[in-house]
Amino acid sequence: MSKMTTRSFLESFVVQYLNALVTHNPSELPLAETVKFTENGQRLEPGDGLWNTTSALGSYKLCVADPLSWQVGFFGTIRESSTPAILALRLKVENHTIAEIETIVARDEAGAQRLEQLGSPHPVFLEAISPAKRASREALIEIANMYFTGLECNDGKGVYPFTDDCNRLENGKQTTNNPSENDWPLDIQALGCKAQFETGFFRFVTRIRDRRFVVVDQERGLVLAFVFFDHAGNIPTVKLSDGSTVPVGVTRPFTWEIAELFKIENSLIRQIEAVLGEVPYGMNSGWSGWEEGLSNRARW
Amino acid sequence: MQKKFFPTTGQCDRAGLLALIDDYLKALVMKDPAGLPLAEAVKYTENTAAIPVGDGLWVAASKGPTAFRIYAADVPAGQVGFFGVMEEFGEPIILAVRLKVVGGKITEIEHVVARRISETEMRNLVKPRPGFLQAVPSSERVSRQEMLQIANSYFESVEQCNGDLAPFAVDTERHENGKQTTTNKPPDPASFGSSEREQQKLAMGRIDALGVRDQMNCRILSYITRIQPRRLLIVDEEMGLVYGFPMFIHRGNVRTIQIIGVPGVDTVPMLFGPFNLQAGEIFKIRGGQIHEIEANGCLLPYGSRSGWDE
Repeated sequence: MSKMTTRSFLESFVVQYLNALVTHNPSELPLAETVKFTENGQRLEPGDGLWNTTSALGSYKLCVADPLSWQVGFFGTIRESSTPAILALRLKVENHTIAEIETIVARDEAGAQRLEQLGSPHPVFLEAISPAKRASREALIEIANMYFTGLECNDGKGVYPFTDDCNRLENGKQTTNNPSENDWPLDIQALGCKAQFETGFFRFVTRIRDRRFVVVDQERGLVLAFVFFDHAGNIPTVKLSDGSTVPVGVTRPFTWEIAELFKIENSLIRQIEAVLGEVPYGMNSGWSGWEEGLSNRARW
Repeated sequence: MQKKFFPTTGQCDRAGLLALIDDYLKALVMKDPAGLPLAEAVKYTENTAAIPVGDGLWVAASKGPTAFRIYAADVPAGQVGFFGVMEEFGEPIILAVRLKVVGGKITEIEHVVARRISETEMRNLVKPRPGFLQAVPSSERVSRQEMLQIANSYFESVEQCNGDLAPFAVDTERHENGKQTTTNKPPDPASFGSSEREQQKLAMGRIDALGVRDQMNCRILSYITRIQPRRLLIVDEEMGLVYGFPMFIHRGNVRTIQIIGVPGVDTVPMLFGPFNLQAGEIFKIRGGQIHEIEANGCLLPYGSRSGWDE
């Protein structure tokens, strides 16, 4: 089976999964006997959770396939009892059956609508890297992990491997090079990725843990990771690299559960897209032991 | 911290348990667990997540409990609970705490933290209702087992939408995250507009004006699929308190609640997706009836475990 065929094969499982979700019928799926399913970090039986409430699929769809690990990722919009929501999905295929199902449901109506207004994913997520320039899996993961390492306790002094035109989309919202209408002391969203990191603004992200680099697509230069961003809440203001101090408004312990997709070209991050939802501070993913879940070490 | 808070050997009597939890709260605000008699294998969860002692509210606590403090001590079970208001980075929170003590050492710490408390809710959180502070006269006490059955019957009543399954007193009043959710003053229809949103507020006002029994029977809680596990862990016979840490499970499949027996209210929309809610919930039982209910809760991903399930 060629790699392209494997990609189509893996993506066909996403299509089957989504169709079964809408009909609320997991028995339509080729599930492994030992299939494991989590939704927002909780282990459920297939048929529960979003399986009860999905009413239709949305128009936004983005797939990433890993022909080596037989895993496939998907970001897309759905309707949950008619309300738009965003779904991040990871399937692991073994012996033509689905062995692992990991989902994050972001119940962010405005975010889902923003994605649909975009119409289609950023084209770089679908473009192949020329064979001579393809990086190894390890090299791709290393670059993606530099993003988390640079962001965790961000001090503005790290190595930040971004292209100049790199942008980040979080639940459909462009959070870089996109001036906000708010009257913030620092309009961080107006800056590019690298400039953002160089400010040292993100120091309030106190731990980026349980870094699982689960889907790597060498052909397209893509890495999909599932991680948690912990905010201990004890950094209400940040002293920036330029010496000024700005409030950041994070004054309670909370955690983002995130599926984050990186496009990497020539050892630089070219585009980022994330699906995220708030979960209890310190929550486990359901795919890691307790110590792994609290560690900031990269795993794949 | 040099102070040794608690004797590390011997049986914990009532006074010892109550002193321990006060010392615990002091240590929490000082952000220093070192002086506490923690067992080597102590387990700590906050809003169900297992995190190291010293993390979570141990980082965030900025001021100790206000006058709103409810305690429950259970000597036979070696457990003690606190439910009260304190501050996290200067903002009020409602904290439910449970400590388990074995041989003088704290082996289990459970926090349920409710955050973002509104000013309206804070008005009910100045001091506890008198029932939570008064011991139950011997003549009005019931057995430990009966207290557990009564508290459990409340959850049955919720699950089955049947107000006759639990012994509610005429004056039973429930507060959830500070909000009084039963026996409120009936709303004046003239003060509501004609928009759909206003009319929904009026409908909820009518439901919140009902007593607990009638409210159960009107089926407003039919969106709650299950309450499991119920974890009624602290029984304070002297004060007539049962303190539980129930997990409320909502499948999200009830999108329209059909209301029964409330004039002017036929249906209530329920637009939440699947979700869980971890609560800390205290029942005051006197004369074999539930009088006061005080609860806090935090929303969780659907299917969340308590962190203490087998």
